[in-house]
Amino acid sequence: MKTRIHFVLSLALTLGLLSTTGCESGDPVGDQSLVDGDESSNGVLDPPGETTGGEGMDEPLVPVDLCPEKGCDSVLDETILEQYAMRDVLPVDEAPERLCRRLAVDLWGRIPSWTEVEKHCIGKSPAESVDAFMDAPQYATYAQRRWADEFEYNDSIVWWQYIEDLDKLVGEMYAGTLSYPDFASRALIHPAFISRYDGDALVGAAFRIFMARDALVAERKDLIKLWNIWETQMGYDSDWYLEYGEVVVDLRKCSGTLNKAKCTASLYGGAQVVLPLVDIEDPMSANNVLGLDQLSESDLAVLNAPGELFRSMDVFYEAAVDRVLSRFLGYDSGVLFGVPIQLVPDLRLELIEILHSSGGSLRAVEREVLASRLYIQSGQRPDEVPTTDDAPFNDHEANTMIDRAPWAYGPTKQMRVEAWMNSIQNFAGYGHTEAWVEGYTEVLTPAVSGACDHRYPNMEPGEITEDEMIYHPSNYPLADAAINRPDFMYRDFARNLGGCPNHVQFTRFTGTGVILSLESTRYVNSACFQMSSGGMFPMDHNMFDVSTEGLTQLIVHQFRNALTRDPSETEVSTLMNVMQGCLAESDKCPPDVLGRKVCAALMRTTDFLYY
Amino acid sequence: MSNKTNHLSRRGFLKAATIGAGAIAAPWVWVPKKAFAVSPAFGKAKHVIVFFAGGGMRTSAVFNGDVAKQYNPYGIHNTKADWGVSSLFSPDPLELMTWGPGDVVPSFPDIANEVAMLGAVDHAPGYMGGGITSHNTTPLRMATGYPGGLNSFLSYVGQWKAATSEKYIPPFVVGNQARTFSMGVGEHALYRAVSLSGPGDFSQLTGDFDADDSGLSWNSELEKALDTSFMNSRPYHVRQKVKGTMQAKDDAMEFLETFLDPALHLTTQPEASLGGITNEQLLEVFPDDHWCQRAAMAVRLLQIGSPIVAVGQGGYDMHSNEEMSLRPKIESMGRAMSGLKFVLQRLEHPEGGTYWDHTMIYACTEFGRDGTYPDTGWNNGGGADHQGSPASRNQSCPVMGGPVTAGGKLIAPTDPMSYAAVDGNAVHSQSLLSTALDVLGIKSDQYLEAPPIHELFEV
Repeated sequence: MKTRIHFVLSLALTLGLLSTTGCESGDPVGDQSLVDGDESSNGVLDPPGETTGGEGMDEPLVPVDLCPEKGCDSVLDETILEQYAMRDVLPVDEAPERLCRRLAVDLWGRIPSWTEVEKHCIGKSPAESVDAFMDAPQYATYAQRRWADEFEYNDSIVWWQYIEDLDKLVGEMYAGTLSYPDFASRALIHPAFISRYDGDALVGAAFRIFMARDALVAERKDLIKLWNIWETQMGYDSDWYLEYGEVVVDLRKCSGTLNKAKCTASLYGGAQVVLPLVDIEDPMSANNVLGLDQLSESDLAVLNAPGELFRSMDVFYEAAVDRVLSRFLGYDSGVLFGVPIQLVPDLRLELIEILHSSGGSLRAVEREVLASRLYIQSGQRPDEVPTTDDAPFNDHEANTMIDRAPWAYGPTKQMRVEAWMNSIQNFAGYGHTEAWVEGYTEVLTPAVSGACDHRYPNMEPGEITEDEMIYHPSNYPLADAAINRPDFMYRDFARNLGGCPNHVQFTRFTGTGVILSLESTRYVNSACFQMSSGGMFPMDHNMFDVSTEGLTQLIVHQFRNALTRDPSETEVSTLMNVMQGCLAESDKCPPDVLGRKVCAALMRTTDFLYY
Repeated sequence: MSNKTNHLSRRGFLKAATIGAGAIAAPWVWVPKKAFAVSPAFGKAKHVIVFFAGGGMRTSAVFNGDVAKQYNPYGIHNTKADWGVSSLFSPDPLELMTWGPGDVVPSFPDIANEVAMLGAVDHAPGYMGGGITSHNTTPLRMATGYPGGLNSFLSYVGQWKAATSEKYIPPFVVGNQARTFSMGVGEHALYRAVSLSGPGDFSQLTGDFDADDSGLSWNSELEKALDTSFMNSRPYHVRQKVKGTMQAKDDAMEFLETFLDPALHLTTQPEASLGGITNEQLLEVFPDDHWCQRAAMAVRLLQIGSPIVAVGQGGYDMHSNEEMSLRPKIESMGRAMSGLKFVLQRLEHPEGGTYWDHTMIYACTEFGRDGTYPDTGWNNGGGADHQGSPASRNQSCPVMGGPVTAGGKLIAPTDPMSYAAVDGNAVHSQSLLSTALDVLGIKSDQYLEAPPIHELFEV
């Protein structure tokens, strides 16, 4: 240990920091230090249980009773801070405007405007900001989009009204009116789920969604029996001229001794999904096929066996909290503090306890994670922390350095495609739609943005006559309101970048690459250089004002609304020089396009893409 | 098409997919080799062009026409090839005005003896049930090798190309009908084919990429400074991701220069030239806007360094009125294929020889067609269906190009009366993909289970 000088706070500095910064919001990022800047330090993390403050010291350098002083807003913080203390790491709060951005993208699916930053974050505690974002309706709406990927909505396979109904259940869950276990029970026998998958793929999907793993072969073969009574038959949506797979309960499939066996699972305590025939005289009668509206409460109690079975298992709850951790932290949350999360059982158990004590509220679990130190701490690496770029990824020594401990920093994640596109729209005021491109701007108000309806990725039309089509209602912007024809430009563009998936031909992905870069450049340029886009200019801004004051105003406006932060003095000065240089070439850089150029540059930065 | 049909078929497609997967998994149906030998042409090509006909082309009436009238009511040309060249192809050569004196593009029947034919290409050879003829899964099979595949084999080529070349030019898809060929998820999403809707796409790039016509260096300078500052402010795991994003942007800027090459603006810059051939000359060889202009774009994409281009066209799902509709499409395809031979043989490859020497070209579709009467060769609507009998489960695929030595030969022949594969020896459709990877020098068994088609290179 003598040769391994630790990069930690001294107790004095720790206490000093606490007394000056604590968990006050508004601290400028960069002025705080995650760790001591001791020149002799090398950024190595302490193994848990070892103290590093000096020879013979038994007390951890970061006291474990930080909560009273820091005013912990999450019940998780005590556990988290204890873990930090064991490793002599002190979390530093994220700057309020950057936390605002993190929360907005995570909970609303887009960056916040500066007005929203001032309203929800400046001068507010992190917990107050979390609550403000969670209380807005966008919180549930965005959660619905996320769950669309879990259930792999595809309206060419599943009737759109089934999907609409399941989507509403997700909304209820995030509004706090439906518990997670009850949601799972209803979802597992929901027609939108049942008609989505064939054969034992249904069991696989159920496990993937609610148990965070695929089902084993034996589980698939056995547990599919809990769904055998369900059947899909031809239905017709006469309102919208669509044929669809109507989900019914076919009592005949589980009647009789042999068939009963096909509807009786034995794993995990076993369960039987058998309902008595309605028409006993004629067992094969169509009267023994029940529509969903014919099911009684007692029928549903029997049919509900999959949900009962799932929620009886611990893994069901562990999967739920792991999903929340993974979603908000971004890094492999299965490994926290350098060890598998199962080895930090307190944290997981606390979240499960919250889930139980809140009556199954997933919202409550999310709130605790969002308000915790893991989430609200700064994502920046202080200059004093040495980088480890010279060492390979699997270098053991380098992997013990604080530079390589994701949990020692607040999360920095790449935006999903829709969040990225919505953020650009929000900033530039640009709706990427057919109507805009074709110049029919009178069709759409500036408030109408491009969008894809996560429920209906395909939107196939109903056929009234051979020549007459109509589309069912959706949340797409409309290209032809007379027949509800959606404007697909946003959707199709998003698909090039991995968004708006239909989970068959188009799947969700988030990444970077040459093609994604080119495609995203096209979108950015469309948004910034479309003359109808104006959000990149301050209100009442004179585009021809190229005075230092005018340009500074433009720079600050764009940084605040695009990157959700103020520019540093260096950035203002650099940008000013570049802009003035550009202006000198008046043929290439007329003043009125200068703001658009800055817009395009900022939108393409990684500072914008990551949050 | 009515939505009713669509909806039903998609449900059906899921079932078909299950059957297909079962067929692949069932050992008595087809035992995939875990590893297999590379073909004699391994690594001999530097480029591949794939023609993909969406909707299910009736290939028995096009490429393997020496069969009963039920499967080809159009008759065949008299050629030296072992396989029956349909009369749907025009026998007329194309006289040229902008090329050298006396230059003509031969007709497709004229080059048939240099085209090898795979008579029976089946998605599930040996499977005792009906053939797989779903519109939903078969495009995925032709692009990914699997009914539920997520990665087009073009993304494997892209990944290989990125790892082995100094300057990465990606695979391309020209035509939305071949859109499945640009699929790729996870790490393969980064190497997906760039998808162009048609030959005019590059002409629009100026407006998209350089929206104010002022060059991008100004923006890039600021962008790079902000990126670097952001990257340096983050811990290791974020820095690695940001670094990747920055690298991709740099690569994209490199591409941009290439993409703005006027020679890629095929339809709007007639005088632009690449490899000594102007766009005007190219479009004279490839005159129509069905297959031909897309094939011309494929030539340009090969010239800028793309390893593989999938060209798509649609409208082949002819349940009715086939007699009137099919001929012009096939004439266009023939013109495009003979045009490729004509042009590629005149283009010097940077690594020696001509582009023809280094290029393999094949055509495929979703499936063949059946449901026709023996006496007329059509169904009641004057078209053909896809019910899974041998004429629809077996598609016939032409393969040509420098590395192909079996020109004129018929491989995996079909019975003329039933269109079933003779002795059950059909080629697995996945083998087409394996062959494409193989000739480029990529070991296909790391991605696919069916071996490359050695017979194409063993004559």
